[in-house]
Amino acid sequence: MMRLVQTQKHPFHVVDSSPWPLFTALSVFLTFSGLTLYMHFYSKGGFILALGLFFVVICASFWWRDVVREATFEGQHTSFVRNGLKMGMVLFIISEAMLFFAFFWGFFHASLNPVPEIGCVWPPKGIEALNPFHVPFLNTLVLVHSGAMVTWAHYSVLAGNRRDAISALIFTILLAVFFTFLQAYEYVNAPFGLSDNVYGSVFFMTTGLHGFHVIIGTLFLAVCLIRLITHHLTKKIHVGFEAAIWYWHFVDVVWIFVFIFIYWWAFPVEV
Amino acid sequence: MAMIRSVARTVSRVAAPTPIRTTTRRMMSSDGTHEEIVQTADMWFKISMLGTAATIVPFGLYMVYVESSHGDHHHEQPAYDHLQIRSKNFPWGKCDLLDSKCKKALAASA
Repeated sequence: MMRLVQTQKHPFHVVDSSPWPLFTALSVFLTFSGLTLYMHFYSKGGFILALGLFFVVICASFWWRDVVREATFEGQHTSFVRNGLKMGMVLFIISEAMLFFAFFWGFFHASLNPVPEIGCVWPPKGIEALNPFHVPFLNTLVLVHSGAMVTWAHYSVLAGNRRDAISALIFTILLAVFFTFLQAYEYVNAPFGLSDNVYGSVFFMTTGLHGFHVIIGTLFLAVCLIRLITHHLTKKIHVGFEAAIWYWHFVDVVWIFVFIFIYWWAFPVEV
Repeated sequence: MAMIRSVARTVSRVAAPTPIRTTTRRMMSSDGTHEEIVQTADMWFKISMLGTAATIVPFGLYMVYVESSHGDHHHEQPAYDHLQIRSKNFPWGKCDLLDSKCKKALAASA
């Protein structure tokens, strides 16, 4: 560290050699090979898929552990580096928005001009859509309030009130877990399935992709909670936490669109 | 002569290295005085707590009532061609991943 301070004449973080990019690439390759084999009924496909996923989780954990060490203990994240990380997060969220845009496009393509094969109506003939003002509305309340909670946590960090920040973040994570529980409950009790024409496909694809993002966001916030408890975050410097908050608000906004269009707008009105 | 001086000044200005900013201005971040931040934190605390108490708790209890009184009462639908589409089994079996009714029926028939 001392040698670095004495010799480094620029504010950038020149990273050390790391095994994680290569290992992550190999793990992802193993995951998708396993998935392909599983989908084509090869006997060991499921095992290879599970092994690949396990390695992806291990690689991600160790890689981010290294990033936390570089930031917190080595002091490599100067203000220039932090701005770069923030820009990276913004671009990542924009790319995620584009991904959801693609599935909303699929939804509108199928629902605005329903084909004769599904009865020229939306929801298709025989599909009993879920009432948006039952569990989905409760989910909306839960997610919107988790957004308010995480803002409380953020301002508590900025104010240097660590105890409140920890409480607020714990409440946020509890609401996030409650949301996932409600989605699972809704999936198990849904009167239609994955293979019930384009409605089932687009419903489970979009809400499932959103649910996956909620789980990732919950883990992201949980890591921030651990870092908050172990004094990694300061009033002025907490880029990882800010990134988690942005990601959580993004997930929140996507849900608003999912609720309005896929649940509410597509729900048949009794005439 | 004046023109040469002007060009020299412009060149030196353009060619001069950009000074490295040493202050820690927080880009894309919330900021304000300590009092403002404390007040805002207090406001979000009230919004979170009042909102949760006034909306999630009563609506959650109402949903428990609704789901326990008439949950899982779905109308039987005609077997349209576009429902339960199967050209072959899923890798995990005959039923949709979360279709517990189909799984129970399959277990009963076995």
